Amino acid sequence: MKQYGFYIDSSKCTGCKTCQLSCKDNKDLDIGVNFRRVYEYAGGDWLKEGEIYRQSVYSYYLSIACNHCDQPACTKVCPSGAMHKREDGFVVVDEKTCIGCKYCSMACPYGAPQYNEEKGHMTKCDGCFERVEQGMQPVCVGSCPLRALEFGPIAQLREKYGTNADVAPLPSSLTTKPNIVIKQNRNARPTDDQSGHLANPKEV
Amino acid sequence: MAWHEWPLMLFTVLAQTSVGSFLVLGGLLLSGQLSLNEENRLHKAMFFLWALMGLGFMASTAHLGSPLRAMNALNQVGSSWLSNEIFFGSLFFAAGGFYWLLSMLNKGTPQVRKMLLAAAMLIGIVFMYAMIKVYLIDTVPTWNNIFTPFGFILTMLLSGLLFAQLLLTGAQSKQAGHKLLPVAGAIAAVVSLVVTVLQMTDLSSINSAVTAAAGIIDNMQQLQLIRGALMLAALALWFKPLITSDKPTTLLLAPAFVLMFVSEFIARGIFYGLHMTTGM
Repeated sequence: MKQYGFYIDSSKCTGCKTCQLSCKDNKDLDIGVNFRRVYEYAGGDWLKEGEIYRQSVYSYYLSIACNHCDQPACTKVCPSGAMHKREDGFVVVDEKTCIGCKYCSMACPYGAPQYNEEKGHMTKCDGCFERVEQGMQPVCVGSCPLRALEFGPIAQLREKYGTNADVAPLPSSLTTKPNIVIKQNRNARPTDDQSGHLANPKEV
Repeated sequence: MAWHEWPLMLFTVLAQTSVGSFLVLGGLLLSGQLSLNEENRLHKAMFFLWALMGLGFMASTAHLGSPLRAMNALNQVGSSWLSNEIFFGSLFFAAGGFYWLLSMLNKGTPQVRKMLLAAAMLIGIVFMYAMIKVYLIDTVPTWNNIFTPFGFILTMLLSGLLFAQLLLTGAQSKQAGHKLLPVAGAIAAVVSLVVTVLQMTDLSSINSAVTAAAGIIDNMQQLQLIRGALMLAALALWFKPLITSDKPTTLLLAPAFVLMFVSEFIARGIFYGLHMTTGM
């Protein structure tokens, strides 16, 4: 079985959100619906060293769309079968079947399924499978000015960049087996970290 | 608090109330302790039970973005607990409703009706089990714990038993004054208060990198106080006939039920409001 995935270089990402907007443009998404979201995780404190105070402020970005998981939390709960995993590994919602119960968005720990108020059903990142079938890249990947996103068969990405898919504020990759590889920022905190916070809750 | 989830709050609390009271009344009907006239009057009163259940299902469709496709909710029976919930809920409504219709029209033999009643009670239990399973999602730590089954079963007891007694009283049954119902309700209320305290304490141990469960609902204390006060007020009305050795009246039990229902409705709002995932 084929399986595509994303490589996310959090050491390069500056949080410019071009990926988020190119996707929005390509998929014609309304305000409040973001198939790709850039999470800003930030924290830090004052540290006393002898007689002086030093700060340890940090922040880093994570560009997350749908991770087209091996064990998707969304498809497991979907009552209509609209949320399904395709032969090529993409997790896609069949918008003609979805009843808009929002159960998938309750279950997904990455916030990938997004409810469209106007359509009355769920929508989500489909990995731009139509573009991929034509040999093109997903729109977000091509648009990144920092070249911090890469797309391809997950096996190849893992061979090239390793297998890490855990970093705060993502949940443990053991639950849904996401098909992403993350290169960590130098400030990266582990998955179960409590020291930071989401600095841009209204943008995601 | 998650007022926007009012369709699900209504659906779950109404369904638990209906099934809870149906199990009590069904048990009583099966036990043969009721005279024929009592049975007839109780069947008439049970109209309100099906009205509540029907209202619940109507409310549940308001939760859907595409209610005209509601039938698709049954597509994954077997693998999705939400499908199972809707399937067994509909089956409960159909079997129980059919029993009720046969009894009202006095059609079918008593044996057939009793079989149907027993089947509907069993299906009702499976329906309640499925409803609990819907919310035991391993990526939702605030739901995926022992407090979910506790909360749901307690609603069946608190709201369901009181509603059962209200219907028995309305049907002028000799069983209406039975001590067991308010006593069981009082025990359920004590358990409910203890469980609530335990759950509120447990919240401090549930965190994701960006969400602390204890901080999701700002006015949690207020809501819990209002909810607890409503429950105790309902309980006081429910108990009054026991203390004064009077017969319970619908005039007393109806407001008691309304208070209890609102209390459980708020508790369910808190439940939905506590939603978070293990991630972002």
